[in-house]
Amino acid sequence: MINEKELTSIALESTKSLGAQYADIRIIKGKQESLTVKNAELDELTLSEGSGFGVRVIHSGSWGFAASNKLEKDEILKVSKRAIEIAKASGSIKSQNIELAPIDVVQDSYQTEIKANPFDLSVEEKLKILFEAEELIRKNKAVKIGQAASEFYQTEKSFANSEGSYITQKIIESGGAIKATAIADGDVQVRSYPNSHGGGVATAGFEFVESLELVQNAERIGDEAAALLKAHQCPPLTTEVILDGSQLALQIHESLGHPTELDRVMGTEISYAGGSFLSLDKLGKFKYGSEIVNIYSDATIKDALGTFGYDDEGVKAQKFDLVRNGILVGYSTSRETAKVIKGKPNGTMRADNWGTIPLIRMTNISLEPGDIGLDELISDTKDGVYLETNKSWSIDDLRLNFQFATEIGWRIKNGKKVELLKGCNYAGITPQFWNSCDAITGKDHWQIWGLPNCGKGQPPQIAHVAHGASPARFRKVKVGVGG
Amino acid sequence: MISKEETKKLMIESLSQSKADETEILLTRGKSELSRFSNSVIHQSTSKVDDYIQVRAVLGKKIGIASTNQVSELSSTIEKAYEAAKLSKEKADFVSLPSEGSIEAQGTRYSQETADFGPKERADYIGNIIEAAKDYKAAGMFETSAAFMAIANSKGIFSFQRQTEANLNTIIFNEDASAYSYTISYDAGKINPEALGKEAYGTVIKSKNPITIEPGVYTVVLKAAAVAEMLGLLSVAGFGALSYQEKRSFMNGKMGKQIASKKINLFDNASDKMSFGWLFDYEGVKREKVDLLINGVAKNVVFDSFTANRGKTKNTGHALPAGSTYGPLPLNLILDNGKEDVDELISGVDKGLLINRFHYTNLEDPVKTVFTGMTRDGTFLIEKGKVTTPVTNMRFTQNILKALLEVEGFSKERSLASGLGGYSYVPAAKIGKFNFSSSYNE
Repeated sequence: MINEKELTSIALESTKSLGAQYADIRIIKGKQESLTVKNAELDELTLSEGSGFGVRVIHSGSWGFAASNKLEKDEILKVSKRAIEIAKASGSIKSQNIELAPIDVVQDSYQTEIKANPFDLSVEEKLKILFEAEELIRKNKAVKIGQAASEFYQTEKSFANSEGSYITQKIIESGGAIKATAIADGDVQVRSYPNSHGGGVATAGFEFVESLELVQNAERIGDEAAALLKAHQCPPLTTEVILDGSQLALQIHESLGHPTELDRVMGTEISYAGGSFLSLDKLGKFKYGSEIVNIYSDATIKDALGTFGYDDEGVKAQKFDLVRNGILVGYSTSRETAKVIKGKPNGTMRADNWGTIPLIRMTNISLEPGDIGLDELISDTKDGVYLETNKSWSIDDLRLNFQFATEIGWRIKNGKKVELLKGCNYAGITPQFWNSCDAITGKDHWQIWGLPNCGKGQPPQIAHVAHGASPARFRKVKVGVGG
Repeated sequence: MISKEETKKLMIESLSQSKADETEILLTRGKSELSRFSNSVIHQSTSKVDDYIQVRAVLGKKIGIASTNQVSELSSTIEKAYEAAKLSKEKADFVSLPSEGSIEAQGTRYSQETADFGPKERADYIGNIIEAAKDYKAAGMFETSAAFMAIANSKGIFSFQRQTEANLNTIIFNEDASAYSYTISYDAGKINPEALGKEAYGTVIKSKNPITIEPGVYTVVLKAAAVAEMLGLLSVAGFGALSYQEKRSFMNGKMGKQIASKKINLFDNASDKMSFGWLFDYEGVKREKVDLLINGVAKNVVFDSFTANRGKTKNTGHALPAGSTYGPLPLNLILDNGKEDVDELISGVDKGLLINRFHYTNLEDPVKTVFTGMTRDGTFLIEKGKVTTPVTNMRFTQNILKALLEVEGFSKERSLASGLGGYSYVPAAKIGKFNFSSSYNE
């Protein structure tokens, strides 16, 4: 039986013999377990497995990529040849030859540090928390649908390139979520914990799901959903907005994470997701936010969902600044885009499986905490709203004009949360919004929010990323935009 | 490629090995190749071959699901699904897997030329678009794929279909203007890249020096791509039986009532000659034609076997893959056309906007059907019945049902456009009032 390293050598030798200027191969084996409890029944129990390999080459000055689920010598030879054919065809429509920024040759392995491997635990053990939590969600009789879910992923990757690198990684991810849906008189209100769109997810074992305290928060979430049925609609205002950490995480994701992806800046996503207003001429000069806004990318944060050992080009996970004292100072880069700007690749190229090509993806992009307490910040707010947990998101193709809705809000008057609000949304223009940030709460309120549903590319790829954030305040923001 | 008969034999034999009370196997095998271009060069081009096998095992009212992408693992995946079912809990409203509705549709919506399409042919098509862009830049993607899907269950279902798809779209752009055009067919030979490039070029040259206008309520003429996107969101908001049965659909309490303009006849029909995609659902049941809105009156939602059994009604064949928590959805929307050309729709607008395409739409309130998004790649001011000036992109925040009540006309020409999870065959629409909540940089 040929081992994986030998299989990677077959691809690299084959592509070299066919004239490739560069080649890499990724062999990936993945498995996933999904558990969903809904209204005291097990709504879903799914066990998924998949494996395959992808070969990426530069030939004729252009990229080619081919992939297959059949991990056999003959198929590797066939797929390697197909990748070369594709590169040759692409080479007929190019402006210049692809060049890559140099990187270190690496022989290494990486594994997520975990305490309890979720795939070693019984399904019953994992379901126990979900059934307990779900029952408590529906304690409030206005809640008509209770849901509790867990998701576990294991990804084993072998990467080799024609420059001599060989890297193996084993990444384990665990997550959990609860959701209450209260329904009455044609009104439907939803509350999620710890976050919407997948809940809390981390590169960690089952201990992370236990740490989420789903059971302890279930009754509160149910009560909040029920209370929203009787809450007033968020009025149209231009006012001070305090975003909780989870909503701020999505704000960072959409308005800073995506526009600092250098492939977007260079226009290679323009026809689908769009470009970026953070053009290269703005680097080092553009006042993206107020002076207290400091945002960095760090793929090494323990347990964070965007943490790994090496990206899918073999570049080591690392930390770098994107915004320092409000000024744009960096981009997420690949070997190809780094070469264009005479910079260094910073380890953000990731594909979501063996059959897709690596793209520049966010890792863990975080807003540094400030030094004010949350109670103090609310006390300091004369008139405003506090918004929590994303419900809906939309932003234009250059990442400037955004509008986000949240599940819940509170009106703040004279330093106190005085009224519950439903139907909350807020809108703005990215640099104006971040320049209006006048207070960020401290590290006691800062936490990493995993985001397991970041979409990009064609065919669409889903990346697992994360954002660290603590609640922050923004001045003169439009809320309660009606339709 | 494995034949239908070989596939059927493999699946029937495998089903007979299952220890579960009922078992279902979904098998897809396909090749997908895609070339992306931007800044008038091909920057990504990929090829992927893969299989997907999903097994659903039923023990009484307990269900387990397992999947793999290795055909050699079919037997072990059946065993895993069985073990998962044993660990599962009873689902009270579950009755059984479907037993009726099989359809074998080999050859339908399939082109061998498209299945054999290669990177060189795609590059040639893209070259034609780049040429049509002249002094503008071109970006976009061209995907060709070929696949079959087979579904069999122990209650007697066996459905099979081969399908090809050729999907080419482009934006032609420079610093201050962009325009979009697209086409899709099961047959790549029916795609005319030069015409597509000329269409986008014809729009972009009219888009120079856009002005920014005040947000507010305007009459709009939405091209088919925008109409399809809006209707796709409406489907998710409530045309499926699961949300209806759980009383979180906008259709609740509205059946038989006027909820949209009398001009609107909207139905789902995968078998229509202009529809695209699988003729059966992910349980192997033929997708039936379902009237959703007729003369603006709410008529029906769509069902899968679970929601049909629970509602004691007919399964319409709209299941998503087992394990999906969305419930059944219509993926082949068809909207009746009108009698006018798009130009005639425009000629009836005193002051309004012509919108080529939406961008990044999302539902803010599914029950009220409020959605937001941006216009993109071709937004123009209409004054006194004429398209006069390009306009910078605008954000809208709009109740979809209210927009449908305000429909004043549809174009006679329709096109296939990407909706949400499927393709819709729809005309352009003139809507009397549409709410724009901000301009591009406000």
